[in-house]
Amino acid sequence: MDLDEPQTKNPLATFATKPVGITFESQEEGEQILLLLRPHVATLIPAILVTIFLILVPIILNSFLLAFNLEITFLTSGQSFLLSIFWYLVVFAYAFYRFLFWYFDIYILTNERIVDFDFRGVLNKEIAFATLDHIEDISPKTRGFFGTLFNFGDVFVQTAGTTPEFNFRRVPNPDLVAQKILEQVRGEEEEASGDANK
Amino acid sequence: MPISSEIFNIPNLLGFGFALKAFAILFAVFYVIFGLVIFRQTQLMAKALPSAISPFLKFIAILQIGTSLALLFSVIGVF
Repeated sequence: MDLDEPQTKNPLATFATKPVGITFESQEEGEQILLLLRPHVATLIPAILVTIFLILVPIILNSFLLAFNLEITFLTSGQSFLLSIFWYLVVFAYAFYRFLFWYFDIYILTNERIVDFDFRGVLNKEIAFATLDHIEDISPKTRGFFGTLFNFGDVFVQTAGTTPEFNFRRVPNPDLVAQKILEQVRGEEEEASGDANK
Repeated sequence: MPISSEIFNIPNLLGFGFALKAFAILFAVFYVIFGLVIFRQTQLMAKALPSAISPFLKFIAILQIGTSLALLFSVIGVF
């Protein structure tokens, strides 16, 4: 994947260079989003499998009852229908919840800083920033079978700021992400040394 | 072989219909609360990170609240 590719228009992209139509809270004037990351789509596979299984549970249950010639007599058809609706609402709520927390699990690299949006649990918002000149060390890590297969992993960013370490969790192309951050940090350092020499 | 409610030994006390209705109402109330929480969460997230699909996500969250309220009222009425 070429990092210098033009603006990404896909709102569901997990590795979006210069994403179109995306802004963030506290974005400063002139600050440009260079890279937007969210966990790799493969990290959604367990949730998708659970959702499919939950969708199939009533069908499996029905097949089981038919196979063993069992009949539920204590529920009217209306009650059965309502219970089915309950079930599918729970399934939908689960799927929506998982999607929401995946979609908004965002890491941003701008021309000024890195930003980590954390929405852990319900009604809990935590946003951490670190300016590029505070970044000290970047280490990408790809772990496990699925990480290697789908090329996703963690990028640890050590900073001298109030948040000592940023962890970009399960992002695609961790090496490329680290490289891009490093490029920006070097650019910022050159800019700062250029200003100091004047 | 029919499965009757007697297997679960529920109806002897209050009646199976009553137990089911109580469960359904409780479930629907919790689902309404959950829907409200998710809607607020979606608002928070969309405010922090406005994107092209944020309005759609908010719409889904509102739809969930509407569905849960409709379910609550229908549960009260149906049984």
